[in-house]
Amino acid sequence: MNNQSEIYFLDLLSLKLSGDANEDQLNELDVLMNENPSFILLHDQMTASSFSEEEASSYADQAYASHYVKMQLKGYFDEKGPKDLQPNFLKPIFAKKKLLLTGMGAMVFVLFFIFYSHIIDTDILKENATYTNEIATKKGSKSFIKLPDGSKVWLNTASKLSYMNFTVGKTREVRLEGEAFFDVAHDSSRPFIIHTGKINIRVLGTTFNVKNYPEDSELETSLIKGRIEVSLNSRPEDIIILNPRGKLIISKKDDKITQTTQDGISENNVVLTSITYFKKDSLVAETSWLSDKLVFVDQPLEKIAHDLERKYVINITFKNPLVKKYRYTGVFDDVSLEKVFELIKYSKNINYKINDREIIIE
Amino acid sequence: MNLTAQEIIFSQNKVAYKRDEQSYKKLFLHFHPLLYRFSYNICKDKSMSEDVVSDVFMKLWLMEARLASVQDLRLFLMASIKNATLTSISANKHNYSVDMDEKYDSLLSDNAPNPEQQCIFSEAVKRVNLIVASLPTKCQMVFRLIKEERMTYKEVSNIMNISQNTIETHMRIALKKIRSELRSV
Repeated sequence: MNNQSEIYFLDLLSLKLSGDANEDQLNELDVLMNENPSFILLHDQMTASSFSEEEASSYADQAYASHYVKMQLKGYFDEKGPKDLQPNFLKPIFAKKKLLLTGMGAMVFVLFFIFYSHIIDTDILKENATYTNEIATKKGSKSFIKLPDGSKVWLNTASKLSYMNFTVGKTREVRLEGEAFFDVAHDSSRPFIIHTGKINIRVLGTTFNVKNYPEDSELETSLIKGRIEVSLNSRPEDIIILNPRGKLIISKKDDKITQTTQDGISENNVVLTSITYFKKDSLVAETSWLSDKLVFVDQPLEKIAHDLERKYVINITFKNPLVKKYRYTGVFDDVSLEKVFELIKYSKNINYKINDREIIIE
Repeated sequence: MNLTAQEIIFSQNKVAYKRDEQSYKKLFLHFHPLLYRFSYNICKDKSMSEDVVSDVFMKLWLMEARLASVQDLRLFLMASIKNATLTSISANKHNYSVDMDEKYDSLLSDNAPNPEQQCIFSEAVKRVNLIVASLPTKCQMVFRLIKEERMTYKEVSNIMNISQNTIETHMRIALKKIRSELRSV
């Protein structure tokens, strides 16, 4: 009798959960619970919601960002049809006194000075102004925020974003330390400007990635969709324009950036190139952190070590300075630190010791 | 994002005929939580689930005008995700480098990558989650679809290719186990 009424109760509860129960059945269920208060506990547990709608929806936002990047790169969103991402031998376009260099294909353009006659609004150079709102992430964690204008920002580990009051002013300005992926809401009347280190990025409604960590020797910005204009604080009149798939690398120290091109090896302070795209896996190296992947193409171990330190919250010391220069290419899903080092060792042998959060590479 | 049935059809058509990215995004945001959870519950692999959902949505876009003739988009997507996840699992069997113990730990610990477990849970709920996670595969799947996604018996029957009687049986088993767990303090 008891067992039967329990089964009856369970069946009615299932129907209620699936939305299949009619009014009579719902009433029956209430009657059963009144007769048997011990049924109430299970009923309440099962009818409560399992997970946060908000979490799931912000996760979906994040997932769309990565998905969007993939679709963009395959050219599916273009009216003209998919583009071929083979290397493109285009020469820079010269126009009278103006030098306009755009990043396309896999060719590397090297530039020291870009001259472009453009009137800059002096409101933009608000270097020392106070940014009233701030969001920061620690090592090992990421964050997502939606700015007052609807722009979306994904912050990588150990990063900080500060922004001013968006409701006033002719511009929307933010300051970034570290790394972030932006999906800027379109507002042609109010340009979106990012100050990071010694550059400013002026945005016209686009999606792109900015990477500027204090411990890194280079600053990078990669454009996925739209158009951005980059200028150096020291020379605000000179503008570098990025087109989709363009990537700008600026050296912050005296070391020059080494690039291997069709013509050989070149070294410069500022390099305009294109983003690193793995066609087979539909993966963009520069934004892979959005989906917790770590991707690097022909990068020195020194540089990879910085990304590992920030992601896994560890400290890496090199005993042998030569090992720092070893170059690696790799795609890591969200794997353990031990696995990462195993795979690095497998690719090109290194000797290392892992001591809790301290790693020593010999 | 929550769309009504009518809004879904509307967006579906906009994507099929107008190639409208905004509508495509709406559909993605609306269905992602459900599809991701479903895929994750089959393969228990965050990375694989993300890829599967992305691939299925990519194919959706590539269907072009044919998308308009899909009668029940939710059902269509669930079936696609199920197939794609199973295919992905068998394709990756030899690449599956993650330790199985690691997988089990991640289900139990507070630091799970699963969005479901990022909420603050009471003790009772935590215990319930453990029981659910220990249910046999099909039983667990049926239970989650009904309880978490609030699917009807008919929908579950269509997605999993099982009879409504079987669904009833699975639910009895699951709820009975949970009930006895909740009663033992």
